[in-house]
Amino acid sequence: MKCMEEHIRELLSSARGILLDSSALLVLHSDEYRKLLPLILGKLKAYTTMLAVMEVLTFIYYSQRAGVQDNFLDVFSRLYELIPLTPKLIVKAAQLYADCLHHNYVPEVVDLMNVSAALEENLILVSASPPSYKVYERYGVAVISVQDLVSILDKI
Amino acid sequence: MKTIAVTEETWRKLKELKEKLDMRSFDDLINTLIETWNLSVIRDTAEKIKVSAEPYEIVSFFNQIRSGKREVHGGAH
Repeated sequence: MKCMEEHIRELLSSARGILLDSSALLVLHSDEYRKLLPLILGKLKAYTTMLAVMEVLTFIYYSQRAGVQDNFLDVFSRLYELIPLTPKLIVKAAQLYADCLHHNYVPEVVDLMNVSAALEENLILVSASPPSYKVYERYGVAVISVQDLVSILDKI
Repeated sequence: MKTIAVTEETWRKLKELKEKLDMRSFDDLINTLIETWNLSVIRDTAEKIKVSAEPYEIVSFFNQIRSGKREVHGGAH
């Protein structure tokens, strides 16, 4: 356990910040975790991709279990650095997509964008479902769970 | 080091706060005040987006849409 914490701390100290995928964002805004957000965002620079934001909104519109304000994106951009779909990111994602196809795997586009953004921007990817990214480990992306992040909060 | 000018009243308040918070220097005190203000803004902003779902429901939602299942549980429709 201690070894794992040490590993995560090393990962975080070598990266520019964290990239939150849609599941991580929603979990961090849930009643169970929201109180911890100031601690996380006070210590780490947090990024997310515009596609992840789209998924967050999709969940909110579909489940109707969160209040969507007119200024949702404005509020979101005050908490997180939003990564747009830049040409550089598109090229990186296309290279990874092609490689996945060569390995007989059809990637999920939003996951692929998250992985590409994390690699391009030197960020640690945080997800509520890290197994979703197992297939991308070969590209060198570091993925930790929301629980992992929370468990080392007082040590960073 | 840089110097800033404050009124007598502000100076009195800063000295009081420095003592109360047991700060070693005014630089430490000002940094603590900045950090506290930042946290307070983040706290207020974070409260504007509340998701009333359990973490397992969120994970399940994305697992199901990624696996191509059309029927996603927990929806309002």
